[in-house]
Amino acid sequence: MSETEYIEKSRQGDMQAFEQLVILYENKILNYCYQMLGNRTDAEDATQEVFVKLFRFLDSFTGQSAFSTWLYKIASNVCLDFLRKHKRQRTETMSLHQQNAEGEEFLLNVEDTGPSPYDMIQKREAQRALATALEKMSEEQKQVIVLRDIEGLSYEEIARIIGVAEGTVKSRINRARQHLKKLLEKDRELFSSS
Amino acid sequence: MKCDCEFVRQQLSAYIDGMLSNEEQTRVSEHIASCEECRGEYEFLFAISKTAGELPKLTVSDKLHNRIMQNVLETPKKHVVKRPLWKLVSAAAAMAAVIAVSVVSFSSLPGHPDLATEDTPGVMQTADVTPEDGENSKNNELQQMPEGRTVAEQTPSPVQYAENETLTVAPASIPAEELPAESNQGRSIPGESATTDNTEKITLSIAKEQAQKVVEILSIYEKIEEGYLIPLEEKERILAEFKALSASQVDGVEQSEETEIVEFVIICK
Repeated sequence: MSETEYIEKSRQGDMQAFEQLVILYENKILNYCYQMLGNRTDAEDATQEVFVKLFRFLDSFTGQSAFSTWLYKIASNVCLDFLRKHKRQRTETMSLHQQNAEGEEFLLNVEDTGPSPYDMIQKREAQRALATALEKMSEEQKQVIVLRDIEGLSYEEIARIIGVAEGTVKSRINRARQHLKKLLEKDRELFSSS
Repeated sequence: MKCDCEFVRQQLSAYIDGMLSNEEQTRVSEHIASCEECRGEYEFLFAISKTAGELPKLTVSDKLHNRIMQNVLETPKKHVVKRPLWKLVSAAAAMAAVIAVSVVSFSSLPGHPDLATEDTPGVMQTADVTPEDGENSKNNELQQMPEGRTVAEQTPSPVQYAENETLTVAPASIPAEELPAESNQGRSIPGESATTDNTEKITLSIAKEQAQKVVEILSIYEKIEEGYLIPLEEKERILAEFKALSASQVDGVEQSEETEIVEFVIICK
């Protein structure tokens, strides 16, 4: 069954179809929320809220934009509201060892493409430095970096999600990257290829 | 060469994303091939972007998935009566403003919205699941859950938008009329005023050219007879989005005195 069919069936009350929609997007939404909110507990709560809203307002989806765009828009709103409401500090560093809301420990899935242990260490240090730098950015700048570089969305999709022109997305991404570059200047060596 | 370096460095971000014209792409490519400093800047920016894409990814556990589905199943779908999206205000009453906010307070809205349909374009009534129906069907649906995904025990959702939840709202902190700094010519269309303890009704006057963007922003919210129903905690963000919208030009064109204004009503509860 296609995504469109899942959406249509969900609107008719088919919960199995709705669950398939959840399965299709829950990882992406969780990761987006995690990058925006900085800790897994908040990310899980936000993810839950996103899908509850999706269920409540599915009838509002007109199909004018892609379903994923619309869903990311909901997630974006939920995260921004969370940030304004809770203003929690990032409680997790880029440790590979994480703990979820149920207290279960797990290892983050880190891509291991370095040919040597040194490369792996350098890569992880670079990721740690980047994650720390991201936390110092404004919500607006962090959002475009997350949507573009982490979620891999196009300028057009990002424009629709955050409700601005494509040109604005282009300049925001440029400014956000320049800001990141400034924050990471002292760690520049971590980002050089061997 | 220095002039080219300056131009190229401003284009590096768009270059990484393939968002330059062919001519600009070529210009940047050729320059960074020959300029060691700019090449270094490009490689640094590219590495940052690539590292961001390789940040550790989380996966949703079965427990979280079940918690999500459990909360979804406990969420009643609302009765939705769709009304015409906006009313046009005549050009005679329109002004140069692109947005005005007038905050009014209303006494509690009556319980459930009226389900009567109207015979007007753009109006329809969706098939709804009442909370009672939802409860019965939910029990059946629980039994039909796919194998491998079991529904966890009921856990309270951190955020609930109960339809009849009464919130005590302090008098609105938003002034009765607020104009964006860039729009000195703007004037608001006065909204209705009344007093209430627990709901806010906000009337927005938007330039017609911007109306579609407003519709997109509001599209995820429930529409009732009085307007768009928005949770109170989202009010600040929504109004900030509208202010940002109104502060910008419409496709590079300043708003004129003859701009048509359309009205939107949001109910913050």
